[in-house]
Amino acid sequence: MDTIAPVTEPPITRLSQPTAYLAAIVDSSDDAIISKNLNGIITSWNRAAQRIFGYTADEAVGQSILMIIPPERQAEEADIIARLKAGQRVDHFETVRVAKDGRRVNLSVTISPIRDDRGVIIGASKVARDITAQKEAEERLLAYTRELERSNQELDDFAYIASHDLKEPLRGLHNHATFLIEDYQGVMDEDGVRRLKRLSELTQRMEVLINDLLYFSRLGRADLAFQETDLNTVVADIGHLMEGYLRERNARIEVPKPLPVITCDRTRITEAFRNLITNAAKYNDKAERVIEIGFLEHAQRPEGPEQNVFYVRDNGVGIDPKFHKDIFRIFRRLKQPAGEEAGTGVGLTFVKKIVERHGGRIWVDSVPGDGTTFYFTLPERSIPDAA
Amino acid sequence: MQPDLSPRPQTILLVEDNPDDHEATVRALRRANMSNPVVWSQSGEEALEQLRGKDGGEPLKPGMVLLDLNMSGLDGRQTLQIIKDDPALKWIPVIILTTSGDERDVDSTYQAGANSYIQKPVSFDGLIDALKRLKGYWFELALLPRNGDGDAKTS
Repeated sequence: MDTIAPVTEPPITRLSQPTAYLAAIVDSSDDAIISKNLNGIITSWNRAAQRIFGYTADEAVGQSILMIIPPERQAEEADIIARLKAGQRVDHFETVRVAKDGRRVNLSVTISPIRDDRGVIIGASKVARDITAQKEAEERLLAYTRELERSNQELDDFAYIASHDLKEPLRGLHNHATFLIEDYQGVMDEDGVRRLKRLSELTQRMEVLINDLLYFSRLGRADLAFQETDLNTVVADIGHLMEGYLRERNARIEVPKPLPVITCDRTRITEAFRNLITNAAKYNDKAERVIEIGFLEHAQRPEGPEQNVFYVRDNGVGIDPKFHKDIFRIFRRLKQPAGEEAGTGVGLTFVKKIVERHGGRIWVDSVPGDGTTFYFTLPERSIPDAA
Repeated sequence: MQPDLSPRPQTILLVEDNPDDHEATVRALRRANMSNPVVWSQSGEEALEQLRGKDGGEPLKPGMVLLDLNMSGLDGRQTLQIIKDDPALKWIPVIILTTSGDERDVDSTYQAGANSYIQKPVSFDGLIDALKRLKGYWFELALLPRNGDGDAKTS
């Protein structure tokens, strides 16, 4: 055992070195470090305290701590002293103090009791961090959020106005064109009737586009109604509802493995699957059209690996890679297959929006002539084991 | 045994502030070979006057009310609420016929007691089809309560 220090070494040396060392740390701290006695008289004041509050150590030491507490918060001090006397710490207490020039400073303060050799509380140390910049950033963020909420509300109002005030005159145009055709059939020549019919069709088309746009804007803002959803039921229900559509196209849905039960907005996810199934059956020239729906724990996206991926695969005409980005844009349509009614080109845009609202991603993989696979993730909620 | 569906109110009360849409509805009825009398109210206030009897007159007892939502003055939502809150009127089928396809309108009007909600078909042919189906359902298929139904009592 040689724990006993040589008596020749004076204890003062052993003490003063760590003290100077600690003093240097305290002085170079970015946070204000202040000590005070139980009467609230300041006993030490570091350089950061001078920077934050504007008083030098000479000016501050010996003064009451109340000089940096704003008038409306003076009561805080009594509360702090009471807690210190009870031996409690005050941790990360956010408050406001006032600097020498009257400037208000936002602080996060930690105050701990100081005890003497016998353990008696004789004062407190106070570490204060200037969080004025952080507070300002928070307030800016809050202001942005409010502004965003307001502009969303405006968009919502706009969409609603569009639904009535833009569509009403459009319906008028359609109706009058129809009445002209009805009432003046014998008076007008063939070309006149043809043009009126065209006018009537165009107004109808515009109303359909407005309806789609409205629906799209609502998809982006309306809250999702999350509920536990068995995707096997979802796909089976779509199969029943689309029975005629699928039969006409000699298409069938195959689910090789049971799909999971997930928490999602059932109505919207049903719509996403329905749109993908419709596309798979539509853009397909095979004698037997096969739509495979499945779930993969891992899949590769061009940008990297993904987990918990759903897919809808067809053996249809495929999509040229140069259109893979474009197909998700609203009102973009691929060449319509023969005998199919022209849509407005919103189906995939709706699917993308629905997937993104659930926090997921969608991408496409396709070889022209060989078929297309749409992949998407729904990671917002946990996906438990397959049902 | 078939229920007796013969004498039932066949009048349609059309509440619509847009003259073009009124004309389209009347023409569509004619094109569908429907001879039902159509009473046209241009506002919610007018519709309530018809249903309650104007100046102490006989109240209109329509077989259905086709109600537009967006109208100046008393709008379709308020008119619906008044009809469905009135014990003498609430039995009348009210069909919302509007350009709005907004989910909130669908939800709130059914909550308020609307009997059906139809978004105005985009095309004139669609309107003809919608009116035929509405007539087929409300005038030929659905049974309505007899109380309050003045025409039925006289049979």
